[in-house]
Amino acid sequence: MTVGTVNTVVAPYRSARPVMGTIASVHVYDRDRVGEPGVVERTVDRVFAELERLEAMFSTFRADSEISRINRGELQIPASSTEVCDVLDACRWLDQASDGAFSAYRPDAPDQLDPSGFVKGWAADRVSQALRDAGLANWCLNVGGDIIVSGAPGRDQRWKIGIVDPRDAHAVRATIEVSHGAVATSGTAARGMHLWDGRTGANATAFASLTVIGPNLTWTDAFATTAFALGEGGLEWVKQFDGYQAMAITHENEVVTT
Amino acid sequence: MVALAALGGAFLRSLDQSANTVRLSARALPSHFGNGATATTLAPPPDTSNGTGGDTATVPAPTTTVAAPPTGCGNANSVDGPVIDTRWGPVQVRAKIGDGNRVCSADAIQTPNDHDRSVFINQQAVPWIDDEVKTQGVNFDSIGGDTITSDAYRESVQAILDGRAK
Repeated sequence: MTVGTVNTVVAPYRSARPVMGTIASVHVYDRDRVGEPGVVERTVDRVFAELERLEAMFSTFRADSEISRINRGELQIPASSTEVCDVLDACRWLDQASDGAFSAYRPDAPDQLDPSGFVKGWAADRVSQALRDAGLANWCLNVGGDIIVSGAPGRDQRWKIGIVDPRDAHAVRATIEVSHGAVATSGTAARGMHLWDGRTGANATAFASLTVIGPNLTWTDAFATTAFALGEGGLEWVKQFDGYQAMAITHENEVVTT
Repeated sequence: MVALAALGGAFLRSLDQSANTVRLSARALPSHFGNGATATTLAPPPDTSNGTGGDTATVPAPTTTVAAPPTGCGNANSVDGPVIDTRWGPVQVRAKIGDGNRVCSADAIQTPNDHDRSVFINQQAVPWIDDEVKTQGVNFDSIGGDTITSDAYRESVQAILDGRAK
């Protein structure tokens, strides 16, 4: 499979679908590189279907999800799926690595799991493998503002990612150019206060939003969530991990980077 | 404009290492739900990336620029998208694009006939806008940010990008 430069501008295949309480979008630029007709469409459908499967497994809004069943005491963690065990294991690692600023437990109900701060990025990262497996090289997957890209969008060498203005969802505040890699942002503007500092249980408010750029979306998103919860020390905290950069937008609308 | 090109070299170099550190960490982690062997030094993240780390060694350095703030909708241009068949039926959207790529409004101007579906599409329409938008300043491939709701999406820049061409 040929990977890399694109000599001609290819009309992209684009599709979007509501999932996980937000919208997932896939843009694929190597449509003409796939010999079998419909491969791109079927692969993108598989991406959406897998996101829906993972949502059904993890959603705290669904009574029949594994997380809801664990919270009601109907399912023991060791008996849960490999996916749930992997996520909870990673959440525990993040909790330790951030001295408790990241927590997969609700601040108002410490025995109730809510790993949603980790699941979206992890799920998007995981399902993006279907695009690679199909031999696609130039694509962008965006799940509710968390993004993983491969290759190039045809006309440019890199994907140009606009980071939304936390004070105005219709405007862009900063631009990040990236080829292979991930960009994830945490904040409280779009859906109200839904991120907390696990050390205190209080809402995280130090920054308006915090963006992390890194090699894979699982940890890029997890670090954005954790750094946002850490607040003032969050940018430095991200810096310790090789390959990851952080950028915050302050309440004064200033852009601060590591 | 604030260019951060200086970050690039370090970022590129560190990425070469990160694929390895991410992989190694899965072994370093304590097993699932044991007695919590607390690491005294910070271990790298466990590998739940489903094997995606392999691509990272070729990651070029990202650059970050700060865009000028938008100046509003005073000069907004109206753009009609083509009629597109979606899973909900045919959809056409009219968007107004202002300065700074601001999406001033996005309205479904054609909705499916079926009543229940038309209610749904009006609430969660996926706008489809043609390439004209590109010439009017939507110069992004994708929009990152704090998770937007399905409702907010239909008026978002990302919605325009998703529908720009097909």
